[in-house]
Amino acid sequence: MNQAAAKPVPDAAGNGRPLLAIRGLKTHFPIYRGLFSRVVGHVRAVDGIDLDIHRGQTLGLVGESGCGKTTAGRSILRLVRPTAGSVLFDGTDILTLGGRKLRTIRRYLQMIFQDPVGSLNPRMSVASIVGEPLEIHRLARGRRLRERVGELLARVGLDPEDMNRYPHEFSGGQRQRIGIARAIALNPRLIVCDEPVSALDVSIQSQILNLLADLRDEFHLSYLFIAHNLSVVRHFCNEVCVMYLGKIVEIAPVDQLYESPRHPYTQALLASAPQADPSARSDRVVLSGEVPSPADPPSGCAFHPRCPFATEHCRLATPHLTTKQGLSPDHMVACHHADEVLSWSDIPRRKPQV
Amino acid sequence: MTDANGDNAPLLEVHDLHTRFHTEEGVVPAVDGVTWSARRGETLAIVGESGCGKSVTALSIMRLIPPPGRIVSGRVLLYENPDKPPTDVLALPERRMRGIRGNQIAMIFQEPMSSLNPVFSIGDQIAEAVALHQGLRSTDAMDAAIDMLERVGIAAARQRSREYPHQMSGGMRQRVMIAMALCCDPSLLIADEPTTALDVTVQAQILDLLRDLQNKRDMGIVIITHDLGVVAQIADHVCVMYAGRIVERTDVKELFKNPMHPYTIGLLESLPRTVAHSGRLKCIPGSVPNPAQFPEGCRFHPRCPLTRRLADESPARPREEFGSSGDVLLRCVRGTPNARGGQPDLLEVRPGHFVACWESEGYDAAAGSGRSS
Repeated sequence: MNQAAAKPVPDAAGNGRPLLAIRGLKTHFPIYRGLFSRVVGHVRAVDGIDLDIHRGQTLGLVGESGCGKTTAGRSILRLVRPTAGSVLFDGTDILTLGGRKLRTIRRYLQMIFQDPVGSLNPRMSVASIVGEPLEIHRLARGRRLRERVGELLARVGLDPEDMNRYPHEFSGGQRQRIGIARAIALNPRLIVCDEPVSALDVSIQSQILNLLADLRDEFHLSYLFIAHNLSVVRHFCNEVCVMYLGKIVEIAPVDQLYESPRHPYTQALLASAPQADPSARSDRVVLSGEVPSPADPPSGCAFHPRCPFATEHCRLATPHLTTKQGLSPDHMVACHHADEVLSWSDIPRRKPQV
Repeated sequence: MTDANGDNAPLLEVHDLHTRFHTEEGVVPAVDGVTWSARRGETLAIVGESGCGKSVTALSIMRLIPPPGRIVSGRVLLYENPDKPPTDVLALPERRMRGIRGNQIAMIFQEPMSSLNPVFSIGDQIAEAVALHQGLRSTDAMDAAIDMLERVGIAAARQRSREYPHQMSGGMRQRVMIAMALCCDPSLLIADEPTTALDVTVQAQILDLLRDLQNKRDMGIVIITHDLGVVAQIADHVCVMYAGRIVERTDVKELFKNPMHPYTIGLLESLPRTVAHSGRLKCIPGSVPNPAQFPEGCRFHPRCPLTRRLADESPARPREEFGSSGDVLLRCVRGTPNARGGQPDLLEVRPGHFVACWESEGYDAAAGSGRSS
């Protein structure tokens, strides 16, 4: 485990309250049809999740594409408007705030995006990209602003001399550093990282991950780390939450999740990740099928159509995220069969006939 | 099928391939002297980061390099029939080349959405390829297309063949691409990042499918990827490319057990593992060079730990000074531009293990005995 991350940062307020408490968060997108654009249904992108993020903690959010992890991250920052639920940041519900109060609180909540090209305005110089948040929040201007931008660029490993250049003059890894400099400009408390390294070359990924880890220790940052690369999550996070079709199916401290996953979906996901070791090439579990449409989720447990262990009960009743016997209290699973030991080796693999 | 001594029949040999792009910024040597061979029933992985020339190598073999790119020299020998001498694909007239693309060598691309035509149903698109290449009537071609869709694991293939690309998920589209590539029974499949846009679960399904199809048809596969996990799962032999050149070539077990080029070692060490470990990740400093400005000397030398040691300690000094000055303790001096070592050749430093690094163990002996690839 990452020792630096495992140490809890002393709580500034002196209580055990989480920095961010998400309760019953739902984000549904309406589907319009017909001449009068009637609402004919909803895409349940995020469908009732509860999460706590503590100070200095890094929570990983994993799942296949379409499971709602990006929407969850954006809903927390109110970049999309959630349908229901509450997001308490240090005790204040972000979802009910408006105007100036929302702007003030957003100072403490920042985001790093996946696409370092699309998330930087090509017509703005690096100095204006990184300085813009400082100007908006009236924290610096003029010479002081340029000094501060120079400091930020140096902190993320860029040359402050380059601040008058434009994003296209930088490589992918450097652009991601610009995005990170912008995100830390306001001394935030929490950064939502949405796939921050998946668009980068392998040799650059580790540079950016090390930078994010350094910043976490230096500024006592908390991260919500959204990623699909399970090795990156294992390295970087201290708690991991697995999402499937808008719901959390398993959440646990990182080592527990990787060493004794209880939900069959988590087990399948971990088994599918290719190991960089040719001797580990084996008859891996291959989960058949794909994530169903969140506009029309399956009944009961949403995973049951793909689950080799599903029973009639799974088809009818929705499992809730609960602690299980024999598991530590911070390991929660939403599966009717989580108490049984599931053996994937008995499952016949479906092979295409050629 | 994993025989390093090459018991399998050769299928395609690339010899000293050079592909350049003549741009306004100058001549870009995107592929600069690449040599490898693919065999029947085996998988060769070409691994490297963006801009290393792996996709340009594939497009050169298919002769699909768009202008201002041009294949400058080299040979691509295709063994259509094991008993007959090979054909040089690069010397064929375009008419015959069209008979080779699809029939002999098929290719699948990274982004299935942009490789499929959005206004034709997928069945029509596959049937068109079958009709063109095999001269079947349209109804027979459609039956062949549906049959192929079933083989790549698409359920209810007859109904789904009437669907359009946008109605399918990413994994399904990639299966359609594979079906289209395989419908004319090619002897070699070139897959350019076939699973990069897909989720891990679907990636595992697609890799499984490729392996299965290969076993049943004795097909050669060349897979182009940046993901060393994919390489470890599917490849028999591996070429590691950096800045237009192959820096290391060997079989997959040897590569992961005993990597020799500093770039390969750096790539393997920078991977976060799913097994628990602590601390910081190792990095390769700097970034992939722009192909228009490849460094002189060994192209990896600005990022190489063997030439960088003192550059770290006194960053104020230009890197070019290192290697020549006597007070600098560097292991590698020959890779730097002013040391006149130039670019190292890819030499067989151990049986079946080729490395292009001045400092790799056995390099000088291999250079002396003239063992080159």
